[in-house]
Amino acid sequence: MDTPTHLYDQIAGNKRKSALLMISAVLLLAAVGFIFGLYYKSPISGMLTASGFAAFYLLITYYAGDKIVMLSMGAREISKPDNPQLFNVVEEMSIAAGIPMPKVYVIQSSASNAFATGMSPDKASICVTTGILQILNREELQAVVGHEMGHVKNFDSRFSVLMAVMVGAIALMCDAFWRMNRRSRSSDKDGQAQAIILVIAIVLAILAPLAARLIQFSVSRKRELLADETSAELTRNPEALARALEKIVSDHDPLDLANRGTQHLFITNPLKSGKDLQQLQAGEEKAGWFDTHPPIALRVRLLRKMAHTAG
Amino acid sequence: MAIATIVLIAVPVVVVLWVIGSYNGLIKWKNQVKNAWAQIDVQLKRRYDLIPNLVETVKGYAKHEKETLENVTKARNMAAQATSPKDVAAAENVLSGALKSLFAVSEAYPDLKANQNFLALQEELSSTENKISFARQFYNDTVARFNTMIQSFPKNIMAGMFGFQAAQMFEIEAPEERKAVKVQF
Repeated sequence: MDTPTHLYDQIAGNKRKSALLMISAVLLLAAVGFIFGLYYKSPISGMLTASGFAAFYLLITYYAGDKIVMLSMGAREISKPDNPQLFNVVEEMSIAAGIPMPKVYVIQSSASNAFATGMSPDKASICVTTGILQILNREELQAVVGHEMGHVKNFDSRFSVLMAVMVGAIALMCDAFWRMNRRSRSSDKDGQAQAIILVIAIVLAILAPLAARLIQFSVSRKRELLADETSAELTRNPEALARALEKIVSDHDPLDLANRGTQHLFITNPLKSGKDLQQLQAGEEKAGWFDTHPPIALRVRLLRKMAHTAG
Repeated sequence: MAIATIVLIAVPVVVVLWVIGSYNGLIKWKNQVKNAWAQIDVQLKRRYDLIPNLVETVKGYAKHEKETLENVTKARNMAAQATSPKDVAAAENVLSGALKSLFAVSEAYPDLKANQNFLALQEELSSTENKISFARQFYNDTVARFNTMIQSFPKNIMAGMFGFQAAQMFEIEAPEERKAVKVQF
């Protein structure tokens, strides 16, 4: 059967690309730490400080947990009798993925959306809105759950936390640079070298936070495509997800429970539903640099391409 | 310390580490294959347990369909007792066919179709069918990965040395399923 090979290639490719992006973020962080340290005559301690910031952020966000996210959105955990079909669909997808079944949450909202959180597959949760339950049939719901299961299986929550840590650490370091600048130590002997380093440091301090954010958004888009591909791998039915995405976007009721901090967790950006629909109708496939999700038209086309190669 | 000495120590260490790593990887995947197989079993048993309940519910409404109901019960018992994978596969086919007939027949009984119990059972059975099929899918995917691993270089050396063998895919060849695909335009 041809599909698994193609899918695995695609999935492997996406994993490689996001790993590369992640590495560039780490390198950026290290470069920032190094240059700043160089300016203050101790590059090693610069890198150590950068790592220190990173570790600090990481610990906090890792243990903050998905419970907080769920609570903040007013999601309610359900058990099988509350919604047997939804429960079954999630259970089926976790069997297909070979991971323990995540907890299932429901948000009361007419907006249609879904998301997944959890630092590892055995501590994961999947949440859907009542809105999405109404507009999708069982097959399409399964495809959406498959996408979320993909996020869980691919450790995407953990990945995005790591990215956020990188970005935060870089921003913090650059911020610290501006504050500490007044107390810099320079000797007359290497005045010119110092000046060059200073220029580099200033440029980095301005551009690095922006570059980090751009990398972060790019990674987010790659992981979304990866989750789409995983959904196709699990259901062997990419057409269902394509239809589900079209339906979700056409029902453009903004989910007011989401905000800029959580928008990237959802299957389609809940803050941009109206714009998504316009983009889809225009067939727009190029993503904006600051988009958390790839354009729907692109996602749908890639999914339908998978459906055809299955042949 | 001459470079030669360092190399003489480092190389065997690296090789040993690699051997340990590869072996552990092979063990992990071998167990995943076993696990995936067990999962199929779990879902099959679940189906067997659901069926008596279904038969009882239908009996109440569709007294004339005694034969269809008996077919289902017979098929279910046969499948539950089958042991070898081939027998299980064959019995499963018969059971699927019997269940299809049962649900087709129930279309003629609107009271039955409206019965909450029956609807819930239908969802459960249909979900269980899905779970069986996903468990098989996962099993086959796992087997494919495991087999590829032990057949590719350099792990095939490890696999040969420690006696890891390729696992078998789980194929239920249902002729009816094949025919259904051909009918699609």
